[in-house]
Amino acid sequence: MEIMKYTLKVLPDVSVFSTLIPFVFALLSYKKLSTELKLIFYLVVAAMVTELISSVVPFLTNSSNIVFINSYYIVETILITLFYVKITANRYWNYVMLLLCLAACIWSLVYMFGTSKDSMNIIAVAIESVSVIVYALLTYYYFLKNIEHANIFGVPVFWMNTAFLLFFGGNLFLHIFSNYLLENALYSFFELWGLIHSSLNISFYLLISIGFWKTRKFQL
Amino acid sequence: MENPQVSTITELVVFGCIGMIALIVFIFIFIIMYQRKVNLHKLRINEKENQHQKQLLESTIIIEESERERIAKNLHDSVNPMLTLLKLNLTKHRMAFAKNTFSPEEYKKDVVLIDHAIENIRSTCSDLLPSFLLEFGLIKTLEEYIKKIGSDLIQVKITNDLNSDIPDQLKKQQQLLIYRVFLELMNNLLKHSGFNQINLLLKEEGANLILQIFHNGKGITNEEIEKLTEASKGLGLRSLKARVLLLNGNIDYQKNETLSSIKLSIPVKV
Repeated sequence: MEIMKYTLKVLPDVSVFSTLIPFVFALLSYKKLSTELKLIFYLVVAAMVTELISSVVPFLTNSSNIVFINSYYIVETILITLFYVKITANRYWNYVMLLLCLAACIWSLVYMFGTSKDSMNIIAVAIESVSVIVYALLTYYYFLKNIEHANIFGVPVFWMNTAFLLFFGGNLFLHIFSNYLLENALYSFFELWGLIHSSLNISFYLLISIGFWKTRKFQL
Repeated sequence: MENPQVSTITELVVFGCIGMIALIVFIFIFIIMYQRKVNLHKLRINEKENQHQKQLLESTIIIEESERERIAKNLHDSVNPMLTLLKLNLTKHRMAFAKNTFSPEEYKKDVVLIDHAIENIRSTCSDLLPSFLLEFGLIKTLEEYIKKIGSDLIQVKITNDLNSDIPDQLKKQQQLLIYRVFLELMNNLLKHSGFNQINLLLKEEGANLILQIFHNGKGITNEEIEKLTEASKGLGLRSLKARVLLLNGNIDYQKNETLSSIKLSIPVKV
């Protein structure tokens, strides 16, 4: 039980610092990063900054950090969409993704600066998760259709895509889970929610780190 | 009594776990399918490679056979009858000498016959290894050949648009193969097309050397030449195809009422 308590206490901090791993890996192979991988690097940087601000702001100003998190979701949506646009060869599908991204961003901005300033844009999170899952599955299909690499484990985009699929798959579940907890005021279970969230975050950044690491040896 | 909310949470967590496991299983299935496809792809490439190797081997055999056939034909049809005739004449001269009826005029004719036989053997040797090609290179040899065809009846033109040293980068063996392909093409044109105007265009397209022969005779299409090659019992067309295959090149036949062409593209590794 002591270990469990300790894990619950430590894991969110580990999750915050886990963004440093892909950041370091990306810096080490920055010269070799392709445009799409640079987008993921910017995403990692955005995540680091958000984590930092979200942790510091409540202590310093005694105000909510929701606005930063909502802003991060907009940046995340843009960067992930651009990543998939860059790796998808189908022009029409790219237009669809860009249009969806634009609509999501406009809606998120209206939400942020509208009446719901202090609440999480949970619908946007759910839509983003579903979209990224679809993009990731389509990318797998694209990989299968066009066998371009003898060793799939050596392809950085494969690791990034796997990271997105698992992270956003888990996020979708967390979204349903948090909704249920909020509806029934089961705040004591948010520790469990946090544990799952942190685990997902750590695995996401670890997979992204592998992707950046693979860039060093990857040749098109 | 269990709290229904706790039970729902447990159910949610279980479903979440099942969902995540399903995603992980999906990724594993994807990896297995990908690997199987890669293996299948490799197998197909290997098969193609083997097939190509087989074709190259067959081509080499065909070329060797056609060379042997040509040499045998040369020796059998020209040198052999000359030497047989010379043997008969020499016997005749020996008998005439014994009878004191020896004719120096007849003897001179036989010396000419020997010269012809020597010329024939020299020509066969030259066919096997053209000294002009070795000395002056491919382009000069082709130009010389075209110039030789020119007469009052046949107008010839050579357009050399080569700017780089692409032909010099070709190995001697490749130059010889190109020369033979060119000879075979010209031979076929002289035999079957009935042209009276011909233009040889030499140029480069990327890292490819292009030899294009324009003529105003009877042209042929790629499909027609393919059918002819398949139906042909002789080695000419087959060896032509085999040589182009060995060169990793391509021939494109274009048929037109007024001006037909044959375009030979040879990749040159830079």
